[in-house]
Amino acid sequence: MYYLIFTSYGAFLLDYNGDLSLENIKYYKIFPEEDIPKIMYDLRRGNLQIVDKLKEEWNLKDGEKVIVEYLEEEPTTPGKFVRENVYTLGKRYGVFNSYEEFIEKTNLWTTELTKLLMKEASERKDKLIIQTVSALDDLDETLNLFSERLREWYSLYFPEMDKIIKKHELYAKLVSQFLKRENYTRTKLKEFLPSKTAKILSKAAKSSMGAELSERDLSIIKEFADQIISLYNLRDKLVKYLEELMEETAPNLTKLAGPSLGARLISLTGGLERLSKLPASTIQVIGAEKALFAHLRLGADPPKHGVIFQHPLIQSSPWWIRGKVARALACKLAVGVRADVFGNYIADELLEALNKRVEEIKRKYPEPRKKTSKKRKEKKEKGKKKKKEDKKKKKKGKKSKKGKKVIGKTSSKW
Amino acid sequence: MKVREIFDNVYEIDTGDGVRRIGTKSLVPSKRVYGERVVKIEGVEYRIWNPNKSKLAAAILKGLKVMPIKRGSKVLYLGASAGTTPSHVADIVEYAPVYSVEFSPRIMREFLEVCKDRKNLIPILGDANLPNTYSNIVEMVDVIYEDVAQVNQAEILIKNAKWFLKEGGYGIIAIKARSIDVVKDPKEIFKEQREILTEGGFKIVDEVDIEPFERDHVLMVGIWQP
Ligand SMILES: C[S@@+](CC[C@H](N)C(=O)[O-])C[C@H]1O[C@@H](n2cnc3c(N)ncnc32)[C@H](O)[C@@H]1O
Repeated sequence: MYYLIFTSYGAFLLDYNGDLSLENIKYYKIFPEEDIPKIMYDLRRGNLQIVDKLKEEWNLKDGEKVIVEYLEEEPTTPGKFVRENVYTLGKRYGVFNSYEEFIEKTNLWTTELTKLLMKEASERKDKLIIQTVSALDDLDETLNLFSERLREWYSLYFPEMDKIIKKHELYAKLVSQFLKRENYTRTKLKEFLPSKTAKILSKAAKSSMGAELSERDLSIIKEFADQIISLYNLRDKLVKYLEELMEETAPNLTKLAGPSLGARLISLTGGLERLSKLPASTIQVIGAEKALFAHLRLGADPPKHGVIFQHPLIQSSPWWIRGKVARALACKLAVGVRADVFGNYIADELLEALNKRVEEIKRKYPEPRKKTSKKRKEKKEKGKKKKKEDKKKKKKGKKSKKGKKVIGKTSSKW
Repeated sequence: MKVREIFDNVYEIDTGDGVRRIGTKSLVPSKRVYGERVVKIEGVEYRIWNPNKSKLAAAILKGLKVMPIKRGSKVLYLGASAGTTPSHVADIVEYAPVYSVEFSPRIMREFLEVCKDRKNLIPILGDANLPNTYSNIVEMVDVIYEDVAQVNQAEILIKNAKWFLKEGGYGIIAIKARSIDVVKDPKEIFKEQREILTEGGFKIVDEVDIEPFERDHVLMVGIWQP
């Protein structure tokens, strides 16, 4: 029986039927050193062309049974024999001259292999992040669409509730839970709502102007509401999953930007590695490409921020320093993302420095700077133009990409 | 400062403050791996081995009797993480390889930095459940050290021993009760793990509880006699 055994630097075919010695080695192949990491990588990825090549090189007939130990669940005796003699064999065939050289070369090859595997793993993670972000966008779009439908539908029966309950998820839950108007009692509603709203809603239910609907009509509406609720549950799961992915893939970015904004940055740039190569000034405006082009082509104001505008640090700052805060944030993000690619965790220090910087900005600019009135007017005009331009663009964009507008609506978190 | 060899290439270092410390001779002087303290005694640099960060150090300080890792031991290390313990193991074996398997690509990135300096650390990004996938890299070894914090870790040790451990070689395993079963009594869990290991082919020759450094943690040492 033939056994094909791989080592890092070569492959050995042993003819084994009982005892073992170096004489059992029927054929061997020593790999060119520069190819070794790639050969090991192919084996790990299950790309086994090399096995066929070796068989051909050694003139093994097709019918010949060869056990490739690398693919077996259990170790084989010839395999152990080769593993006992990895150094001896390598020395014998001129791969190493000393044990030290054996160790150093092995370290070199496995390091290269590990880098190849890591690159692939990180690309796979990026793809998972990007798909999850898109799935969440789709889900938000669907949820808005379905929720609007539910509102219209149920308003045939209980129109007053539409105005009273603004949040889609809550609306669907109430429909599912109470359904019939007589169920909307204050005490029961209090479990879901602040007492003031509970009072208003129960009152509205009693004096509703909606049409009567049959059990059958209502039960279908309830079914629809239940599906919406289960989509919200799915959404929660996706958000949680995305958080885990982000935590594992880009802990610095996740800490600084939060998982959803961080994921959005990765998805807009197409990957963590690419994001890490962008200068801070670009990170600052990712997601504001339209405004950026308007700036470049039409001389409008440059955009101060793209998606990073969602960041709480910017949101909580007064408008006149938001641009500065955005720049400080973008700088730290750029550093953090690079550390993520490199595998360092430095987000705590970065966050501290960022907070300090924001405090400094706030102290330095306690109120809007007054410009000379003329200049300011000019600016205003320009700004207006730009806004119009933007609106036009947005409308166009909406038609081609329906989802975009909806995003902000369903999701506070997103 | 005084130094005394307590195991082969493992040293007790007395810095004069009454705290019992151990350390290893640094293979790469003037480089730190995890912020550990380094001291120089008679021209030799030692890295103080922190028992709060390394279960093996904790076990040695808590009275481990059998220490199978020696100068020249070939080691398979499962669950290398960022390299804290592996770096000391590499110091001890000096001119022998420490094949170090780690599962997480992110942590592996940090570990690679450690492997850059210590050439005898051989990085392997892989799953310890699948020994065949690194069977082309790892040779037969004298010791397998396992610290993967997984439910099936005793099985993982046995599986790897079948592939890579010389007969009469040693298995060392760090067992954290909580990562096997959160609610069960740790004593019960340790007993179960001991049984699995014994049935799998290990004769348990030492066992150390590493409180107070880690709670509900033991380190077991077994001889491979399949
Ligand atoms: C408790 S840490 C090890 C700490 C390390 N031994 C030290 O003392 O420095 C456990 C490590 O095992 C890794 N791990 C978990 N399951 C694994 C598996 N199946 N294969 C390889 N590594 C695994 C984890 O990613 C983690 O880094």
